[in-house]
Amino acid sequence: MSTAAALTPTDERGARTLIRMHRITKRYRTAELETTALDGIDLEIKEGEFVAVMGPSGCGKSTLLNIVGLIDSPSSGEYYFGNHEVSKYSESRLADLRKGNVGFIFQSFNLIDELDVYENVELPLLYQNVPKAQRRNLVREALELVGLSARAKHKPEQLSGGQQQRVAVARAVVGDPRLILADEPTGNLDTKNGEEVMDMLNTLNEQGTTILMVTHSPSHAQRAHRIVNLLDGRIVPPGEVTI
Amino acid sequence: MLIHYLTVALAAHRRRPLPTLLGVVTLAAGLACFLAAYGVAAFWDRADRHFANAERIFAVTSEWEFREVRDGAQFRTGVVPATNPWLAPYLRADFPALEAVARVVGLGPAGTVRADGPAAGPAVRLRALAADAELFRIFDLPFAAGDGRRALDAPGSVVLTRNAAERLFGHEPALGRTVVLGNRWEATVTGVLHPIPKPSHFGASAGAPLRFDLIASWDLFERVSAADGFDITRTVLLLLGGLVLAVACVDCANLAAARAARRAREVGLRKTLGASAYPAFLLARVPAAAALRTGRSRGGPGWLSAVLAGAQFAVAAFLLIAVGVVYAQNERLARTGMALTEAPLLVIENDVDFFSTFDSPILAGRAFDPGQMALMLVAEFAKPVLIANVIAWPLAYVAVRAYLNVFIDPIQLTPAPFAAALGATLLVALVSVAAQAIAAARAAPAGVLRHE
Repeated sequence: MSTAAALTPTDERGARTLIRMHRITKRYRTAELETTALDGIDLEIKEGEFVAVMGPSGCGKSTLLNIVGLIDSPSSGEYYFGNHEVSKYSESRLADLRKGNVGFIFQSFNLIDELDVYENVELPLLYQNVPKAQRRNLVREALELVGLSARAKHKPEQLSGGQQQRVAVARAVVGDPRLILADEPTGNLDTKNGEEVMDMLNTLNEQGTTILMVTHSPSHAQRAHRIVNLLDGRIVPPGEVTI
Repeated sequence: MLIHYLTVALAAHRRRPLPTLLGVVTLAAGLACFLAAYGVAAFWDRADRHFANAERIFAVTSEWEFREVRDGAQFRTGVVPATNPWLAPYLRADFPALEAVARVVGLGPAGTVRADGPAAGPAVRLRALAADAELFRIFDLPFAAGDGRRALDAPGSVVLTRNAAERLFGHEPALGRTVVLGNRWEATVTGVLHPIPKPSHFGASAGAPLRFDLIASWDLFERVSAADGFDITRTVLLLLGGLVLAVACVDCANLAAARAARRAREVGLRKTLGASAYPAFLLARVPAAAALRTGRSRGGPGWLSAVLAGAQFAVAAFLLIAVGVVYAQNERLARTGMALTEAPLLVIENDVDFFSTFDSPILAGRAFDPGQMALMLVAEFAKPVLIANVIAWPLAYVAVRAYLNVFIDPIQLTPAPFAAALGATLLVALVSVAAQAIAAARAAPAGVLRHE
């Protein structure tokens, strides 16, 4: 694994490609049965792209997102994140790579109830050992971006769902990651709040951040550069299926 | 980073004071037990060092092994700080180099003492020992009155602590006065003692094995030694069993508290955001993706904590059975006095994991009606309790059989203590589950489902 860097493929292409997956599979094994969540995924995402993933429940969308986001490992296949072939990385090496490179937005927000807005947004920076003064500036900027500067001292339970998701967006962008992964970011929001979050994602993308988003909403998916359709753990070629 | 975690922990405790209180009380009880045990051990480690002859004084201990007592069963006591009094003359004969040999023994029923004479007050209860005269040649006890080295030389002598002397005679001098032991045996006061410096196996230290208010000459023991009983072990055992059961009870309630599942989600999130090491090692093993996906942990922590909780119930059931049998046997002994030997003291450690987690079914996240939910929880919790009892019963049976075999006249072993142990442990599980079920049934569905 220490030689992973040496095995990196062609640099000319790799420099512009952020994600390259080749024949990625993911199987879950329980005592009785084995389920295949991903079955031979080939996927390439360039720096600065905005990609939407669609598909019915249980088609493997979230599994794909977890593997792309380096919080899960594939059962087989090759996965290049930038120049790193990470499919065999240990959990701690994945964590190191994840820090500062990937930001997450979840359907259920996943804010920590005991922390106020400021502290929730600050969290990724704590794990990146960013000095305190710098943290303060970055958190302030992120909160301004999502329009919640006035709510810094509020607890999540004092905020509406839309506001909570904006906190989550601020937390995702505060470390200035190369990639933002959004797992149904508008799934728990009403139309207006959903549109607001989508506007933010578009803005971030225009500023250069690569975004991979899982969504059930065709209109939100249309905001992406391209749509990847998943069915039973496989990518459906464009034009073959519309959902 | 440490401050961050402390802040989160404090906030979490403020939000859920009851589990916190339980945790703190459990931990405090555990700490108190440990500190008490450590303190006692350290205290007695320094005991008797202040006596002039300390380096040359030895206690005779013994270890009892009973072979083929009944039905071919064997039994050992381990080392006990006591031996047969008939050893003393043989020690003197076989080892002339021994400068002095003294026996000390409890006087038991003779401990009710009153001053003799026309102005005699009511009898007082004193801790009474009897000892060979040479005891005062071995230990230079601090005499306030009387001849410190020869006080027990004459038959029918007693030495009193100053406190005992004052209780018997007020401020009048006690030396030379007559006391009546156990309403029958007269003795003369030949010495009065100042308090003995602590720590010492003699004197007033709490728990000192030779704590006394009065030491009588050996002949008084020979005159008194008749019916005798003992009642210490059962108190200790009852306390021990009660304590362990209380700990198991608290821990069970603690485990059932559904917060571990919440923590799993939070840890998953923190790991996603870059936490590589996490203080709670059990939760740290939860894969980030799995914890986020389900909002609760799978695998590892669940079975481990179930085993821990089950082990606690097994220990509690074992102790309850042992305590019940020992208690019943002691009751019989107290009536008949037919002991073969003194009852050995059982000490069993209960290893409690205060930081364990429990994969509680409460967070299944579906809407159950309260009755259905309670049934499900009861079934879930009764299972480990039953398994724990099934494991504890044969062990307890072997242990109490071995214990009873030591006695000439053992009690009949009935299923009663076993049934009682099962009942008590089930009750504990039931009560804690009921509390959880009520709390869960009261929770607003929206609140539970928000994170699903």
